[in-house]
Amino acid sequence: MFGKLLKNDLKAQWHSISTIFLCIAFVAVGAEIFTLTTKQQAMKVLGGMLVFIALGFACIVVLIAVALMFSKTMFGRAGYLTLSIPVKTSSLLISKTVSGLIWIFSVYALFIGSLFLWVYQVKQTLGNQILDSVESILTIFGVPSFLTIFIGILFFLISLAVLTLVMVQALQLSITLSNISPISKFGNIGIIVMFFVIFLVVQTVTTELSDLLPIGFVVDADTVKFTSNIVRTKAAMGGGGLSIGICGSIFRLLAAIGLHYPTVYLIQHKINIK
Amino acid sequence: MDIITAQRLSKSYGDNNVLNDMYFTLPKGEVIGLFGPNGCGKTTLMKILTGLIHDYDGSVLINGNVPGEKTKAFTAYLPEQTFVHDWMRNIDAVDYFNDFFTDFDKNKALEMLKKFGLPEKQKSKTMSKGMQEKLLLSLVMSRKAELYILDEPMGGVDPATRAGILNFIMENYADKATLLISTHLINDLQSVFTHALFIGGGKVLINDSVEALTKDGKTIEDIFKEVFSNVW
Repeated sequence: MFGKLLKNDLKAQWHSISTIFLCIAFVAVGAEIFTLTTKQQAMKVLGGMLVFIALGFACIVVLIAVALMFSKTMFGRAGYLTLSIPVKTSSLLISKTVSGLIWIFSVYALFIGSLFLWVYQVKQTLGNQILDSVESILTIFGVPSFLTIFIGILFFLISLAVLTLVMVQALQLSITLSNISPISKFGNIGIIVMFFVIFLVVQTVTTELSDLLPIGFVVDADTVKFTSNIVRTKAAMGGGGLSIGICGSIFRLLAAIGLHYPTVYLIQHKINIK
Repeated sequence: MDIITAQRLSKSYGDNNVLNDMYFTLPKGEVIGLFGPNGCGKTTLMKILTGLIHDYDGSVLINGNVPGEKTKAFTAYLPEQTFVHDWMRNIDAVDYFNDFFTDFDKNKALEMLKKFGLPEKQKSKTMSKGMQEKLLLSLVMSRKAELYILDEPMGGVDPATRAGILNFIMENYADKATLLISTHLINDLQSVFTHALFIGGGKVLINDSVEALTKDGKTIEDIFKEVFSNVW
């Protein structure tokens, strides 16, 4: 049953998100034509950058579209259909989360892809001059090892995924809360305020916990050390390498799971479909 | 044998007690008319029965179960307003029902679409209110449900089509199933009702078989007018 829920949610979300992808495609084609036709080198670089900026903007728009779709399919007219089917409320919410994340991560992937494309275009336009300069700067400060770069990127992607999950869950909870009297009186402002309150609480606790429990990894050259105190270990290793605290991300993940339960409870006990 | 049991059922919107300490049972296998003036809580009651309203007091049981995942599997609900997504074509809506309701008969639904002249590939947002109602009826009546809850099933349909729709409902509901229909069009439907539930002022005013209610020659509409004559 979950597969069917996911299929239908992906389909429903596609119908609102496809417009965003279409806009990105237009910007990309426009930028490419501009890059190919312009004779000024600086403008060629700006053309590639335009796609990169458009995709950065699209990341936010897709998140908003996912939130709107959640509101529409759960508490709007279509809520009659969604909440009339014999499935568990938690399955409904998980399916909407997973399908939303699939679209958001797709835009992230395009965003990262456009970054590489832009770097490639810069290299093509300006030659190796810029890349050589970057390499010189890195050499001065010490070129990180392949392992350091790999773990750094991997952890960045994991943190981004967890942060996005928290945002989606916080949005679902705030939208659900805003459909309950008396908060419903505040409409969309209520959703925005509640989202930022929930998100701020999670972020504050994340920062505090990361300081209190600096558990994580320190990556230096070809060694990865798991430690209960990344600050002390990094200092003991001469201050070099990359330190990655994992406490914050673990808390965020638990917070995302935790935010799911009040949403389920509210839908099962407090929500009235209008 | 009863299909619905409500005890001390209350629901209010702010200070407005729409349902106030209601007790009633409804028999299985009957065609039940739910009657009452505008705003008396018919739709609210139906939404409680279908698990769309949760913050009520008291208890409601359908076949011994609280409205929820289990009851949704055997309850077919036709709300007053359309619930199909704007992007959905008629065939998408049929596929959606086919995905989630094990008692749904896809072939029957497709036949009904044809009968109503609804093209499979037409989008919901391009259809008139009447066409959307026909689509929803096709979907709901293609289920072999134990309980059908129909909220104003002919509200948006012209008088000429009403008789056809009524026949359609009566021909297509599953054997031994119970139908709970709310309507203001009492004259059009009174021939099919076997049981009547009148609600008003938050209370159950009448809950009896049509046979008992009409034995002295009165019609359901006469009784409605008598019961609610003081409303306006």
